[in-house]
Amino acid sequence: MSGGLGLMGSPAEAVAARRTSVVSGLLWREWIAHQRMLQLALSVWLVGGWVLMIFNHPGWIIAYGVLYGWAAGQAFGGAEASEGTEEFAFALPPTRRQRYLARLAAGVASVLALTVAPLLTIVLNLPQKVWGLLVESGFTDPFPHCESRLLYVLAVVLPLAFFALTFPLAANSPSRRALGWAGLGGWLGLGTTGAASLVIKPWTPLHGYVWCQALAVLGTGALAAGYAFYLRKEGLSRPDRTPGEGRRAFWLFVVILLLVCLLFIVWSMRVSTRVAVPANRHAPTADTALPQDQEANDAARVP
Amino acid sequence: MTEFAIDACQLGKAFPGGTVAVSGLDMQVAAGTVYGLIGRNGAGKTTAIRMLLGLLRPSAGTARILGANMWQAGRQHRARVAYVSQEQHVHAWMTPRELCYYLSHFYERWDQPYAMRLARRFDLAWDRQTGLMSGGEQRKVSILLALAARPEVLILDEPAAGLDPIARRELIDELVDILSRDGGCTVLLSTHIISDLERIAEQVGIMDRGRIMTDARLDELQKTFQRVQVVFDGRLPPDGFSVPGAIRSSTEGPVVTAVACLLSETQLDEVRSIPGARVNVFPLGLEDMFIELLKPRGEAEAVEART
Repeated sequence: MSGGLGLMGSPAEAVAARRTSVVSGLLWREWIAHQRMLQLALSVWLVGGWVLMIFNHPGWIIAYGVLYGWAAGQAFGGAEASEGTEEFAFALPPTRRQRYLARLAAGVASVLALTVAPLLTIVLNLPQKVWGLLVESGFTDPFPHCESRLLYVLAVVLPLAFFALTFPLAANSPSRRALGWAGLGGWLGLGTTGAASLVIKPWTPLHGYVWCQALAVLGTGALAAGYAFYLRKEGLSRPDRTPGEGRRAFWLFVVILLLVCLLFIVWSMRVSTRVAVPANRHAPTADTALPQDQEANDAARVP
Repeated sequence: MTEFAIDACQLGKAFPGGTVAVSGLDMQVAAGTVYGLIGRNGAGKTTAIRMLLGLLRPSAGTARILGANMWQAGRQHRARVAYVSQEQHVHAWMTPRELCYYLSHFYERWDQPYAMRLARRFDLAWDRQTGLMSGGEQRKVSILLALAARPEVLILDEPAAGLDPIARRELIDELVDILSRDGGCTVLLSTHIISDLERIAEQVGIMDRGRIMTDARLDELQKTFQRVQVVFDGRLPPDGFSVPGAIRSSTEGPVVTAVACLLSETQLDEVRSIPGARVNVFPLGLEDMFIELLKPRGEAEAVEART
């Protein structure tokens, strides 16, 4: 090793190289640990977006991304707690700071990759263009294009927000079972944010992008708070414990889950009614049609 | 001032709920020595080790390894220390090869040929997931990873638990080997297998109820604690007789047997001068010493009552 360091020149360069090596080691571990989950998510997108071509609207990416963000938050944040390897991991040379940031970077990168890439394929209509090179069929007819930019932004921000809420909770979970609560916490956080939207009236006249900013602030705050707690986390694999034990804990879990789902549904309905999205710009309704669209439709109707 | 490789000063840890695992623990281990830590279950050995390594945050006192508090130490400093815990689980989905590749990113002195040699010596499947291995094999993988890091300080908490006798012997041989090298490493070994300690430990700390109750070099300890037998020819011991420095004693007819802490050769001269008293002194093995020092009081009193 000393020979290798000697070739690198100055000690500062050697230290920098070693730091890079630590980061690459941590990232390599994340890849090995989560490659199956990433492959599964990628397969779902490829099948849904490129083979079945049902992921042709940002709403699909929101649903797919939220599920992935939620799962990734728990997987990347709480991998060691769930495996019971925290004592081993914490005794290794990387510091708590390095561990947290490396896992966060890997998780955020995966969420971004799995939301931005599907959105780009929708915007650029790539699946149909690619299939069009191979077959001449109805598949090549362009899908209706969603005009709502808010939905595109939400398709990135919502999964990231889910990840950002779940990751710090999972990272600070002391045991395997506590991870379940961390996952629930992600839904609870978003559900509460959604409920707040129904209460805070001054936000109503503002456009939907306020939600993106609110979610960004909420997510960043959660990640920062999680980081502060993680720096004080004791590296000890504890026996499984939950805030409550047994049947009472199970029913509490179910009630909270139902509550969260209810909040989320209400919030989703509220958001969808606020955003007037033309379902198909080629077939506008009488109320939403622009003059030029009306003319185009009239022209199309002429035999 | 001497810089100790491991230095704990008035270390304490109280868990939520009021359990005090460690209280006022002082431990100094000089560089290059093997320190054996023994104590009963629940004495606080593992908690003390975890605080030394920065896995747990002390409630009181300080813990340093190679001059730094491991809770705050940077990556480079932490790379000088390796640890095998009694309940350690390595990543079950990784093979020994992958684990070695992973850990080689963190340790400047990582020795891959040595890791492979150890794997052969321990008869480990290099490309088999550790989750598919037996408990003993997983323990061997942990030991392999700790040794291949070529640490300056090696902390082993019950490393031989779950190992077969051959693997245990190989582990001890490896420890002797790394200790004999130039700049040999400092080893803190916590174990219940006292025969292992007797083979390699230079210094021994006996821990009880969260603190070190005895801490000395092994040879000094064996010289200090001895079994003393006093036989009174044809009569019972005089009233109020006790062996000087006795920690425990029992009387059966004319024979008084005691485990005594003898600080000097002349300490028993007074007993020898009693007419008709014969004094026999037997060396005490570490295991006997441990049992005698930590045997519950109630049991000793019961022995006294029977006599």
